[in-house]
Amino acid sequence: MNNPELRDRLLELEIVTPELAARYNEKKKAIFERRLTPTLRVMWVLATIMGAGFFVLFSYAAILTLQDPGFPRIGTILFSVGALFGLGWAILGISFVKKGTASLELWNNATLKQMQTMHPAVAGMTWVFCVLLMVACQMMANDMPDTARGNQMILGGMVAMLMFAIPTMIMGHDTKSEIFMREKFLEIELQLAELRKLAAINDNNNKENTPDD
Amino acid sequence: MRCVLYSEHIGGASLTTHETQIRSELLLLKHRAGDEKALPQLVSIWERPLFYYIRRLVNSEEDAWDVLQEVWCRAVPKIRDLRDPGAFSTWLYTIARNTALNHLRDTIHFRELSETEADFAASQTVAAPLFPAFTAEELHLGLAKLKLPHREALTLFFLEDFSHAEIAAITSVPVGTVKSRLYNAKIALRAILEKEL
Repeated sequence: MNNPELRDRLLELEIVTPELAARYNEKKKAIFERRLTPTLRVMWVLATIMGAGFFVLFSYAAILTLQDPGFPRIGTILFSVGALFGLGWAILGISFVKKGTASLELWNNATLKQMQTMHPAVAGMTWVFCVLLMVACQMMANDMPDTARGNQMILGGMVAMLMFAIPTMIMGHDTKSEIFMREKFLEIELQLAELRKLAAINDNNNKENTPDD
Repeated sequence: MRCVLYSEHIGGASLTTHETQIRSELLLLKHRAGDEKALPQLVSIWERPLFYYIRRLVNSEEDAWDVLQEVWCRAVPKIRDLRDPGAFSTWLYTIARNTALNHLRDTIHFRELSETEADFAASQTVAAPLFPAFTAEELHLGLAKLKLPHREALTLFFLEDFSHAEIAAITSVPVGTVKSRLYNAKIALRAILEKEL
């Protein structure tokens, strides 16, 4: 095995021109941006159109139901939430297509700790949004003239959601746990390697300081 | 043009090969888990040794920077899909070599690197010379005077302590050729250094 210090010493001896290195660093920044591929660009354009469509559709429905005194208020609120949801997607889509990258400043500037908080928060918000939507639909169905049919539809929807959403969530959680375990293991291994290095340095120092017999 | 030492310009703490491997694997996992800061950190760990290696292959510093940039352009989109994180360094050096070869195509250096060498057999029993007497500065200068295939093999050996099989995988030559190149490279380097010092 080589002396580990040799690698570091060799790297330190490499002479570079600051202007060329600065030019490289500038170009390197562009590599880290997640540039949209043609397929992704088309997908985001479609998502933008879909979001804008939802916004128009739900806004129109919310305005119409607002004018109908017999329509349950919860329904109008749901349509408004749907309109906001569509608007959010449309804004996000326009921003991504315009920039040509699918990255958000919020994510890019987050620290690792913030990321660890944000990921479960986003997953939780999506889950709560789905549950709220289902509960609101249930309440709306109760206010409808044909509640039995409405309930059947809601029940069917919930079963479908449980069938697809829960296994997906469990699988995602499993993968995350596996990565987390491996990450912790590697962190311990890294600490051990650093300790070994320190111990070797101490040993060398002790040998140098010990007077010869 | 003013030149400075790489470490003065780029900075960053030095890591031993083993630590670098573990840290890389850790950052790869974080990158896969969606940590956006992991990838730039991974790049900053590897750009110094890769630059050193590429600089030993291409003619000018400007070319080396261009090749290094091209290496990241090729590697970054594929990093997430890498099957074996433990083989990251070998994979990265292979990309670096192929990119440098594309850059060198139609030059004499390219033909030199593509040449095969007689397999290591005859001198197998003779111990390869070690370099305890030489400093890193002397080895650095001596490397520049070696034939390109020897320089390449020895650079990979000095930098990452790669095994013969790993160097063979990176350089796309049989293991026997790698052994032969390393042996001859050490003999040649020792001769150069002893002659000059």
